[in-house]
Amino acid sequence: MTREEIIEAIVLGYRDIESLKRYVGFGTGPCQGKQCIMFAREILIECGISQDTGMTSRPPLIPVPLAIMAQEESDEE
Amino acid sequence: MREGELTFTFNRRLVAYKQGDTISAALWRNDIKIITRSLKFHRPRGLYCGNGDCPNCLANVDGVPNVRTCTTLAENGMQVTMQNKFLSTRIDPITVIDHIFPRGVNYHHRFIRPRFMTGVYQGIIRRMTGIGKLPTMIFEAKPTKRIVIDALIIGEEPQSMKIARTLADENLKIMIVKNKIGYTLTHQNDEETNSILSSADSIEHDLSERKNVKIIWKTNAIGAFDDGTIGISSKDRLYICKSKIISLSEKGREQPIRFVNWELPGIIQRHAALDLISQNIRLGKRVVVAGEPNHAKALGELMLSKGINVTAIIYRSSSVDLNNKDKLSDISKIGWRIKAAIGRNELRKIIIANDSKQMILPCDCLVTCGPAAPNIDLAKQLGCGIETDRKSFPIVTVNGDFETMKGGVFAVGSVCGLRSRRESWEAASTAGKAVTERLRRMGT
Repeated sequence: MTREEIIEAIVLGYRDIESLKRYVGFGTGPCQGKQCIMFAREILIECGISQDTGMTSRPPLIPVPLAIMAQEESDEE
Repeated sequence: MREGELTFTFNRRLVAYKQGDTISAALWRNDIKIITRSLKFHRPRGLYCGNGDCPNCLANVDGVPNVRTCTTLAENGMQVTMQNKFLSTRIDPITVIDHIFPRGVNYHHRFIRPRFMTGVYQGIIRRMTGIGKLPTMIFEAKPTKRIVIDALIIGEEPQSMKIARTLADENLKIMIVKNKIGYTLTHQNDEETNSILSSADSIEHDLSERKNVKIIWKTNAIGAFDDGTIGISSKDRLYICKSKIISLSEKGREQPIRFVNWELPGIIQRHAALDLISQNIRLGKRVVVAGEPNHAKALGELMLSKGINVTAIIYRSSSVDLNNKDKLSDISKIGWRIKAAIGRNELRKIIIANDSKQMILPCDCLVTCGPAAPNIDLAKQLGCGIETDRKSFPIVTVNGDFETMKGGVFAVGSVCGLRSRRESWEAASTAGKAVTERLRRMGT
């Protein structure tokens, strides 16, 4: 992702984090927005667009192997 | 390699490491800075955040792709291979696309015409970009555990221990989710910080021996589900936890400082630097520290005391409290900012500027101390209200008792906008009392 790509998208009319994300694709990579979202917010604020509280947060917050989600429950302690 | 030395391989090359090194720290120890290449432009990338937050040090470890090498400890005989590289580690022909498209590639408008070629373009792009290859082996996971408790304490900030102790003293059934064992010293070597961290450390030790307290180390809360349960994951197991009270004290996430080439290998964040220092790994021949005044100053002092050759400390603000006798004053650059980092594959020099002039500083390691953004992701999933603080960071809205707008969920610390360790530590007493009171009303 480059700064120019985000600015280009803002010029095209994407003016909040959620729609910018869908167009440019930040927040969908391996950091899942932990480091890139604030950058996008900074650019939005620089461009004089209202402050945004970021994108919708969804589980999992850190990368998790699918296998652990697919396990059965056990009762033993 | 000497006999008895701990080693793993990186791209089939033998790498020696010391006990306690993470993979990327061990590579740094051996002067290997490029760990991967970026997914779109194939720019060189290496150790950066040291926290598992960024995408810059992912590698394939023993067949598993996208392992965060900055938080994974090196083990004897491990096989680590670089992902995303094309042909050679140091010269990757795909980087030409970076020069062909200096303003970035917009896939919504480029490579879509003529229409019959779309599929061909897509095939090529998918081959050139993306991360990792699917693992071939079967992952061994343990059965999921369901846990019902009175209070769930989440977060690495020290005040979570104080809250936990208040609840443990009331004989409530509590669980603590914690990634790291204990509290290690930070760059801030003042009396107050040390006393808070050492008390948290001893509380943690004390709690680990109580019957009504369960501390699950090396785990992370991974999300809140619709029925109000919290998912917690360890390396190979999922816990589903139903709790009457949830207390959040997650650590803020250090934010990058942006300038041209800010992700060049050799540029690292504070946490990564502390990790290297604690393992006695030489940061570089010439080290520059830059960022938030209080952090940059403390980190600079720590480095000088460890004999690291710090050539400059660049403060982002003009209000820095330095006296003339201070040994930092010779190397301090107040009111300067970094414009760009230069280096082909690794950092060679930086360009800094103030209002009137510009200069070049040669360095092979730059440590940035960015502001920390509150980690509010879990709070958002739980449905807590969010507001914006005075630095325009989103934080969780709380009342005087540190209860969020979602009843039963408490937020104490940087998550709710408390800016100092002391403030958070003191807030923990209020919150602890409020949580016990609330549980009493719930009839526990």
